[in-house]
Amino acid sequence: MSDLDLAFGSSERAPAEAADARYQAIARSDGFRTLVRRKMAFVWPVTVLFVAFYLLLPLLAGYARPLMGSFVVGHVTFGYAYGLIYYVVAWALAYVYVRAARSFDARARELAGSDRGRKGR
Amino acid sequence: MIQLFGVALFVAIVALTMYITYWASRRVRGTSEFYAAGRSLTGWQNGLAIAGDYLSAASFLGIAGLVALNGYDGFMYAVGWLMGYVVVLYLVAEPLRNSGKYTLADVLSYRLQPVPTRLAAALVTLTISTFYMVAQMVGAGGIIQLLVGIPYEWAVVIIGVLMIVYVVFGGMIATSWVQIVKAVLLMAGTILIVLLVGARFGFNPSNLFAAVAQAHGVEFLQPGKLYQNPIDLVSLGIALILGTAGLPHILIRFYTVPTAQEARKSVVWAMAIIGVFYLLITFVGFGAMVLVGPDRIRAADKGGNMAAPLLAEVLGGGPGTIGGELFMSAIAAISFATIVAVVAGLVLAASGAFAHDIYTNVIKRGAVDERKQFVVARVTALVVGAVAIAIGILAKGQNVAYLVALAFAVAASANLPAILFSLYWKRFNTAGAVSGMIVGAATAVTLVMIGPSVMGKDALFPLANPGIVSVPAGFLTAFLVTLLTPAEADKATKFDELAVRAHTGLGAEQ
Repeated sequence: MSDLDLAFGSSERAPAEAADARYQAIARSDGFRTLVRRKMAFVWPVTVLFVAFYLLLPLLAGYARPLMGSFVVGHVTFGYAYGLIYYVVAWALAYVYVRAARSFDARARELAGSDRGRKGR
Repeated sequence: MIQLFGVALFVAIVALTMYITYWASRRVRGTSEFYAAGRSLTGWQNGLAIAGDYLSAASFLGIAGLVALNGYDGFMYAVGWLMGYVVVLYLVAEPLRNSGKYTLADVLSYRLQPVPTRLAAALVTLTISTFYMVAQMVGAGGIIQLLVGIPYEWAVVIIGVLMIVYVVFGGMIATSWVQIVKAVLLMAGTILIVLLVGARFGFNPSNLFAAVAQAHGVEFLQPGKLYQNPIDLVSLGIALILGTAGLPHILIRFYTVPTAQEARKSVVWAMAIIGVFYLLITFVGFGAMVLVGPDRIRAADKGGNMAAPLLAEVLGGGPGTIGGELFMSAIAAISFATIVAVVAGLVLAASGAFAHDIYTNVIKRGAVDERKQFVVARVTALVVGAVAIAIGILAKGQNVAYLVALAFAVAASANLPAILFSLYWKRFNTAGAVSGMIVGAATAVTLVMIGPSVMGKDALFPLANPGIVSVPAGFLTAFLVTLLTPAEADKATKFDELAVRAHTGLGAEQ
């Protein structure tokens, strides 16, 4: 790190190049590639499935009106109870994300760790 | 005496926001405070501010009215407004915070050719913010006129002047705190109404629904009252769930927190508050349907916007009673706070697109000193606000309710493809980004212009909501144009840098 620190203290151009090299080094590292791969394998399927699941609501309201209008408990219709599920699922997904993100944070800190305290570019 | 209380509440809200602005103005020293509140907010503060930025009068008064007049379809419409935040949380909030500075275009231009990308992104931001703003201003003018009895033009001018003062003098710091205060007031008012409605029905939704069925018929508990065409409804759903993650005035809020972790917390807080709000607002609507009745609501305003205030009047003791008038004026005052908080956020988003993107980075290619940037940002906010007032007055009496849905459709069709491909697709290039943004935005706008919202019965395009066509058009254009044009070899390492910044927070703006 000493040469890097030296570079940060010297001319205007050198630190930018040193920082670029550092980004490249992290980008090519196995640790970073694993982090990105795991993150993508988590966030994309969940998001795509959730969007598809959400679009079921207008489809059911349009094409399954007898089901949506039937009563499940007292005067609560299936359509209402089903609509409530979306709030529960959205909040549950937020919880799942926050849990998963903690492990991503730990990996990210390891990768960027030696730069903690160094501000911006 | 009663009118005095209403006026006193308005004065109190204006005084409080003015004090916030005065307090903030001493802290706004440059562009970082002006655009990003100096990145000083905590997760929960920003979460409340996002809720304050997002929950408009169209949600509070409009959805309550939609439910009061149509029942279940209004409830189903309300569901969509929370769902977009899952996309924000999973794909956009943290990488955006880590890799941008003040605007959405910062993220896109980092790895693409800066000038064309910024120009396109700024134009899309201005388009979205203008649509959203016109809908808010025209709606607000009418609502304030109904609630307080001041003429439409004066209502627009008062709201416009307030938003200009907040933004020009207090920047993002004042705007954030005005939004936080508004979120607290709005939630308190909504919760109080729902508690009072609940007390009349034994805190059992089934009893309320039973009363709805008995008074107005079981069909109000079932789909089909408002939305006849399922495809149109799917099209609206696509715009709502994908549009939130492309709304500039929401996305710039993530620059106000210091880290990606705080950005994450702020989405979670926002999801809690926004979700509870949309759950409760449907009870306000069903409560109004039973306790006020659709005929009285329609008589006050045929769009249903008076459902919540009239319900408050009934819950407070009824028309002519002191309690009824007091509660109704309180709800009117909260609606007013709701409106000013949303329009202030829009002014900031539009100012950033013009001052930071077009002026500083396109016209001047970044060669503007910090002092000048700060001055230009504030002058721009003043001009944006003045233009919004002028449009608001000129558009008096126009039906502009469809513009909010159009803003979401443009955000989903133009911004979201550019954001997602920029952050996650290495091969993506400038031609793909610019063409995707232009085609996505133009398709959404054109389809609405030739659709039933504008052309009525003679519409050339059968759907009121363009999302089902314009969102795939935006994504496909961005994708295909990228593949048909050469990769940008000189930008290859820039994507790696962006990815490292986005996923580790290394080098994020402090």
